[in-house]
Amino acid sequence: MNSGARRCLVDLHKYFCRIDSQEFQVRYSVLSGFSSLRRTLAKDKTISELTVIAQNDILNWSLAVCEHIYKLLAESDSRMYDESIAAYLYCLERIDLSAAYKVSRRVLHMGGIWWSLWMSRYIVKYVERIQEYSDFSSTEYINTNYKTGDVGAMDNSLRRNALSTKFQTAKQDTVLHSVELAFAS
Amino acid sequence: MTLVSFDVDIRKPIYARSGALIQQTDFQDLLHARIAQTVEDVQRRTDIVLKDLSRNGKRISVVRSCSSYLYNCVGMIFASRRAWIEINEIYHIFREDGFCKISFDKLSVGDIVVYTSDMAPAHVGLVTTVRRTDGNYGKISSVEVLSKWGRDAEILHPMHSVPSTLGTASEFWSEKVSGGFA
Repeated sequence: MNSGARRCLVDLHKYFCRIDSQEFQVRYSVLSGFSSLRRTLAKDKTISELTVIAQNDILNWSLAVCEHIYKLLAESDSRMYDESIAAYLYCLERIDLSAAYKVSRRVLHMGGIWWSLWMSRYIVKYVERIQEYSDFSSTEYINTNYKTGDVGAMDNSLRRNALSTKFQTAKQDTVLHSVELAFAS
Repeated sequence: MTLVSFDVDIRKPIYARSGALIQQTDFQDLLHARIAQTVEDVQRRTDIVLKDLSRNGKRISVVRSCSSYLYNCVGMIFASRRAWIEINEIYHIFREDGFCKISFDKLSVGDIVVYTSDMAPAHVGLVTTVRRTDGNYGKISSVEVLSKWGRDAEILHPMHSVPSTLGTASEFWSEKVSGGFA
């Protein structure tokens, strides 16, 4: 791991603390619906910064975020982190769609959460709609069909990133699987 | 009368005065018991929100209800606390229910306040009190609103005392002006 990547992971911890905080959660728990949630996340400074640092090392960033989501889901009071989990899923969706899809499928089986369930359902539905089309490489398809309940939520470069990391490496697959297993119980 | 339990929480369609269907949230099944919240959850979150609000110098009047039933601000006003209706539906509802946009000085009890954030609707509240400086004719000095904050509590509050993510009170709507739907 190069120093840039190491730095990225150190920074991540700082963002995790902010997003897991009550101050962050209360801003989101009062929102009137899913479209408001996505709009508010799109404007959130912490969220944009978290997605920007992903550019240093997308693979490790994505694994660290997935691991953190699984950790929160494994907490006995995971419902306390509902808004935080939704925010992480939103970030993952922007950076690594296939990881977002995997985690979302896991979140769908959780009870007692609301926004994160909504977010994961949205991601799963979106990815499955893409999968119906065989031409995965068509950025144009995504650009024109991305259902934006989220106004301007995903800028073009991030969208391209989501696409380019969609076919993730075998390494990431294996690590993700082991992370999943570790928190499965 | 038998109350329907969360386990068989089947939401019914909702229609506007014109007969047009009001779109409820896409994921109706998420309102099912599996993710239903408890009253304690609502109370806990509301306490945190109110503490945060008071740190920002805003106060509320009364927490009216901490029901665990899942409905939102639009559902509170337009579906008698029975539905979760996406905030984006609000202009469709106004049009189909015959509401007209009014200026702030025309505001009276029963009218609707729309809170917007970056030009998009973010929240709605029902006007419960309008105080004027000179009885019924002077300038409006204060407005109280009843609104449901997300899936949390239903709260009676001064018009501008809402969490910042709910936006600012910027539009006022009334159905008593037009006398009918469009």
